[in-house]
Amino acid sequence: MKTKLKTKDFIYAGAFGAIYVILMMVLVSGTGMIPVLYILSPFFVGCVCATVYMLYVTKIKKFGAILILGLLFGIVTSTSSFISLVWALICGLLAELIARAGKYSSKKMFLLSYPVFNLTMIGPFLMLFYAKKQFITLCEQFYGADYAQMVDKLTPSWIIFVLAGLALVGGAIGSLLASKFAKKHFEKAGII
Amino acid sequence: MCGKIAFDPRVKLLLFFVSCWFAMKVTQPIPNLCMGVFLTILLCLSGKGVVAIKYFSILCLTVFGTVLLQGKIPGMIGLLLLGVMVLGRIVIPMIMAFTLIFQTTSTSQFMSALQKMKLPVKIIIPVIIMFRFIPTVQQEWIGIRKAMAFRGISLKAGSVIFHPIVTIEHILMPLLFSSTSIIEELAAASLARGLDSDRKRTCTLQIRMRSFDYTCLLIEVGIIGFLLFGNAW
Repeated sequence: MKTKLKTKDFIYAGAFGAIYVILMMVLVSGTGMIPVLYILSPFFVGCVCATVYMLYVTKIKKFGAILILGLLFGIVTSTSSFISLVWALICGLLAELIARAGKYSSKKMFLLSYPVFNLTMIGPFLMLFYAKKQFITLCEQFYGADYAQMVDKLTPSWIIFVLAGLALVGGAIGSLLASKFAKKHFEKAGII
Repeated sequence: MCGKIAFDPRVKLLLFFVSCWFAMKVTQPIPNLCMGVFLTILLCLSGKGVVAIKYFSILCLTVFGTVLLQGKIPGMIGLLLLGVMVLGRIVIPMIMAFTLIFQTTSTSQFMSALQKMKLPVKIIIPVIIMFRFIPTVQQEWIGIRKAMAFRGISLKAGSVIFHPIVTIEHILMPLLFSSTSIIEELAAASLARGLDSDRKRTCTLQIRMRSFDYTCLLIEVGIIGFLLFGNAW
């Protein structure tokens, strides 16, 4: 399919972006109260948001669709740091290329692209990687020294790879769930 | 529209980003409250006084809460409470700025302001639709919760932990189904109004900067300056 995105596709992109971002925020703020669960949030988001992503991608099978979703995600997460916008764009582009390799018709490639897209979730955590001290002082000012120490212990410098792994695993589980849901609901109802 | 001041959408947009940045970066209670007061005044001027005061009182509560509670209550409960408070402190200014942008500006006004900023349509439309759609999703969510309650399915911690997949299915499916039909209607409506024509859009409302816009802009620049150079404070 070599057609360009039309206005209708942009409307779809915006709306699905809204659903995706709201689910993400609900999950992150729901888990954010407990430090350990907060670190697991890429996993949860992967499990839940995959279905939204899959429905979106199967609806708009054109180049650029995933990239726009990445951009929207990035705009929302860039409130914490500018790097996560760039990161979200990179992940979106990678996922886009994977989906493109399947010519936007292979279900397997869509399923493969979601875990990569879900790497966007570690964008806000990247700060732990390059500006850890700053992050810990922020925690200390907000929550007090005890909490900051706990976070410090929980997040050694290799944590970012663990997070990426969690995001990938969560994305994989999510996309399996998504294909199950798609069979059970969407195809029957004729939405796809 | 009498008695209300319509700020320029661009000023509001800048304010949104500034307040997000501010909320993530500034941890001292007094600047936090100052920002809250500034947002409250702007919201009152735009005719959203009741909402503004509601948010502002929650903000005050969380700010004082974090200051008083920090390190006082030991253990998990204290941590949880503190977590909720800090979340409120970070999120409420963002919600206030968000309300200012999207509930006091119409979508077309916003669109023409963005077009004046010479952004490409490819970016404008998704962004605007996304922000326009967020309240809709919230509405749907409330409806789904009610429908689930009628059928005796509750969102208790137990069911979330023991049947996560079923819970996801119960929430996601209705949400996606109803959203899809809403999106289709929205798309049809906006196409019927000529959103996809290649000609330059016009707007009956003149979007330009006026004196209060400049005042507001000046304060925003001041805040940015404070964020950049006020670390020693």
